[in-house]
Amino acid sequence: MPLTQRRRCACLVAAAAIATAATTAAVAQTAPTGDAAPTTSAAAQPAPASDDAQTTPPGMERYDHPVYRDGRLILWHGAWRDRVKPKDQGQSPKDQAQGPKDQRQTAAVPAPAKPSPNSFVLLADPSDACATRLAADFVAAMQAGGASGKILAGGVSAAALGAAVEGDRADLAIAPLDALVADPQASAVWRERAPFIAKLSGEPIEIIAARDVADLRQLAGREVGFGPADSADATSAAALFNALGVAPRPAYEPLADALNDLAAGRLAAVVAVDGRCAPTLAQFGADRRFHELAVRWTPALRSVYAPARLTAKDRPNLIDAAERIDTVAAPRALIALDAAPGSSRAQAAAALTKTFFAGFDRLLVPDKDGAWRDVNLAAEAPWPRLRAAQEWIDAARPASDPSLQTFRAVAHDAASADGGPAAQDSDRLYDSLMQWRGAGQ
Amino acid sequence: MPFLLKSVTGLFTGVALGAVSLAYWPQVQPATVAARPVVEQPQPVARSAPDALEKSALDKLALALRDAQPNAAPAADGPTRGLALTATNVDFSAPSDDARRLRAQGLVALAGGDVAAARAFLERAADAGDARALLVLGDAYDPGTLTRLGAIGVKGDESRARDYYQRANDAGLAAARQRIAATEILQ
Repeated sequence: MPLTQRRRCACLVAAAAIATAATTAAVAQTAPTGDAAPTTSAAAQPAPASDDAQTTPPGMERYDHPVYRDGRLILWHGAWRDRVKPKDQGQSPKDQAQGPKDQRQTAAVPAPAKPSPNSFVLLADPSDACATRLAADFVAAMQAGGASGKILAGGVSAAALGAAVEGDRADLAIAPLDALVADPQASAVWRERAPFIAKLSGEPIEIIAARDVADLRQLAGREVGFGPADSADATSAAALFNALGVAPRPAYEPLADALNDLAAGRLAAVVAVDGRCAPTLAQFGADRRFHELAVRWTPALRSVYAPARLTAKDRPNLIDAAERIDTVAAPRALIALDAAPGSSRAQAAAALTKTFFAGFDRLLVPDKDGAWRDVNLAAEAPWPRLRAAQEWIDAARPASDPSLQTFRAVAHDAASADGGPAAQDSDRLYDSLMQWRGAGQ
Repeated sequence: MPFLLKSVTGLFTGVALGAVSLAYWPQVQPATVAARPVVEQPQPVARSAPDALEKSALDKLALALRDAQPNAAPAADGPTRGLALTATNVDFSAPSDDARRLRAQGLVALAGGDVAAARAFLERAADAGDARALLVLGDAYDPGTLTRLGAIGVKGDESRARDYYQRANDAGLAAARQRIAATEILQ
């Protein structure tokens, strides 16, 4: 073997050794923190029954899942606990941790210290750059208001929210509302337990495809990049295609990888919900082989989606100068996790809500994301609101006059009809608005 | 043999360097991150401070141009993303059922306080030929209307509101004159 080749081999072996060691160390560092997505690691699997039978002390049993607080692992899987400790299934994990004193004394593992009432962990999707930015703004504003908060990077699908609640890992989340509202199963589980605090600005859903794909329906049965599993992109993409009655085959991978696969012809299209904040997408398509597909708003989308529009100014590589692409905006909301009415977590969320609402103006300054300026804290959503949030809004609003109440009643009536507001409702609603506006002039 | 020796020496040097690096590797917890220092902050794409300044200058220019051309469309990059200009050469004489349905949806959203969604629906309705949607769009941007509606946080845009009222007036809606007069009184 020539000298240069032998040296190269030696360097490669050294590099491989370093890489292996670094990987091992990184895994060791990251393993205790866990992830909000359902874990499949060996640490989270129940221990074999035979092992337990041999080693379990009398009257004790193992925790069957790791327990996190403020994103830190405080009780690992396999820790012993008192088998005789009653477990109230109706209580939230935090309620159970803060149970009666005599029960805590008998537990093998002491309950964690009660956190400050104004401390929180906010769950946000790390692959959603816009949500991450909003989360950072939110935490900074809350800290300025005297609260103490951290961001937990994790999935925000219904399953991932369930994992976060199960592990007691987060108090709040920035979550896509479309999947929660549209999915009857998710809605049944979360409607009471995850009330929204504020509806956030929606983000246009972008579907990028090769120019020979002219219509969304051509994506049926073909592989489409949905973003990472449990991400906001994947959740909203699944909900949207389901609402439109189109069934592509989802490919779960990060946006950058999906765009590479699209360019290589391995994917038929890519869905992106955080395109506004994704530089990868801004640079994609310079060869003009791809374009944005239109998502036409139909009454089938009315319950959660609003129209949105993209122009060449948004995507110069994907939209022609004179072209306007109609799409829909995916709704997001700040929700309180595991905060059923009357629970201690709802009380904690109430304190956080007051801090957030009272300091909302801190988010309306130039160094914060401009999407905050589209947020009306009083905006309604097809989802229950945290009671404390509604009470704060009611107290902050001016007393509504009867004509405004009439306008709202007419709107509620039209929205409640089968199929939503119809063309014939438009003039009734308009007249009602004119009466209200006229009454104040 | 010397070559092999050098290669082995290189291997051990590499491993040693790697071990030293790992010893001083910073302890990070990727799942629990502090707000700003740890979470990767993407480069601002829209509405950063310089953009805002530039936008302000553009808005002023657009306003000046609109004064010269009363029927011109409002500035494109407004406070609500995803909304483009409503078309200017639209036939408002006979709005379609689709246009009226979009107006109805926009009014429902406005009544519920979802101002961003209301603006989006009404833009579509106006584009589809619904003149009344232009007037309601003016209301959806009118700071006075938003205050009376009980909106908290979202701000109005008086110049946009006036522009939509003007376009509604140009489309033949007499009620728009009252709105224009009201905004002039407030100026």
